[in-house]
Amino acid sequence: MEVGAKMKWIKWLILAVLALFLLAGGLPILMQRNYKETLVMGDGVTRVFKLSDYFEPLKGTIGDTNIYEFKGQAEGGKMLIIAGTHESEVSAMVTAFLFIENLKTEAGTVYVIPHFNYSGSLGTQPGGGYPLYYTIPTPWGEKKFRLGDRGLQALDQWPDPDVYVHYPDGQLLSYIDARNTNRTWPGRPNGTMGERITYAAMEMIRNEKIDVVIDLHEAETMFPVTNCIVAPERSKNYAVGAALYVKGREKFESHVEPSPSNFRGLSHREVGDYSDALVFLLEAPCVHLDQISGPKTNDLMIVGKDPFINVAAEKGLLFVPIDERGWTIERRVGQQSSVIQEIVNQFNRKNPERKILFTAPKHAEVVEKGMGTFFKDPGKAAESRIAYE
Amino acid sequence: MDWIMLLYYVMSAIIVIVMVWNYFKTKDMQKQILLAIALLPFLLRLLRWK
Repeated sequence: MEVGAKMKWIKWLILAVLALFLLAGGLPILMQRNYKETLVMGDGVTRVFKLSDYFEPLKGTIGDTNIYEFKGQAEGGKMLIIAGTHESEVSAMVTAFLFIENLKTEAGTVYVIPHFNYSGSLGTQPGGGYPLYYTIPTPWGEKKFRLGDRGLQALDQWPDPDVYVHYPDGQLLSYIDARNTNRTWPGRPNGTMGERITYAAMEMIRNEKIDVVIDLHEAETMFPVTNCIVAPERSKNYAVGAALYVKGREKFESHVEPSPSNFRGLSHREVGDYSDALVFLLEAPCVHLDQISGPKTNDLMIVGKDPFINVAAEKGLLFVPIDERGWTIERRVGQQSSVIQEIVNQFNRKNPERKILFTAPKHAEVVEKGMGTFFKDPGKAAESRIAYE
Repeated sequence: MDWIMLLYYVMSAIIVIVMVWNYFKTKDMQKQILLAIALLPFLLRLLRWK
């Protein structure tokens, strides 16, 4: 073969290898972006609608997301539960899915948003070594969910600024927080996608006259603000009551952290400042987000045990206790559920005319029965009760 | 899509065209491999895969 022909052949061979890399690396990412999670809506779900119903320009964009409504027979107050602000914080979404499949409301209305930052749910953290999905074993097989990232995907909001200037306070924040929907509250109608999402949520909170807003999160065991309820001044007494009651009745800790008044853009700050709602941000402890934990496997996220975290615990570097149980998905979701219910109990006590009464599995029940037992088999469910996320 | 994001896609497309053109022009195999690797993120973005 002459040199020219050989060179051409090598060029096409390199391109073929490139195509192979592109398909091998890119296709799974593309498939994850298009994967739909299947949920079986419980009898408690009375309506599913869109966040864009409160802000038309969001309609048809990646920022729009589903809202599940649980309306009780009796009149009462209203609560909004937001999950998926940070789509890598697994127990937040699983708690939302648990509620969508199991929650029943007697009085008032509960709204659940399982993927607040829907764009964030469509791809994992670049370079983080995270799997594309996580699964939870159930009696009928594995239930599969997309694992997401902390912020919106760069595909959906780009470019990042050099410095993110918070609206309306003008506080200078890290550039990466421009895509963080827990730094873009209260948002603005003509802002970035993140700002438009939080603006739509604020519109919902104001228009629906929501009484209680709960934003679900997870935090590293080595991060000081973990295993806690973050509450601004107006919510503080409710949070303290809830923390005391879960410790007394359900035997687990979830302490109260004050919402700093000079750190802007966070839900627990801005929702309270820009609406009449009482806002709470719940942090469950998890080990998979700790930088020092080992391979980011499904087990790490679901079972919540890691030898490196154990060493850190021995050296007193953690802000939560670690024992042989691990921070399992059951403990984290059960904790989120119980704390929500106790916050509502505290709210009902002080606002009897705006009572919100509902039932959902609590900490002890979730830990005892296992997470998977609360998820129904979509194969046996009526088509009208199936939802896709 | 914001105009600035659209501009970014146009820039990516131009860079891809230039790199592919260089790829077929060069006779240095090391440069060819380098260009092929450098193309990957631009293609992923243009295809809107990542």
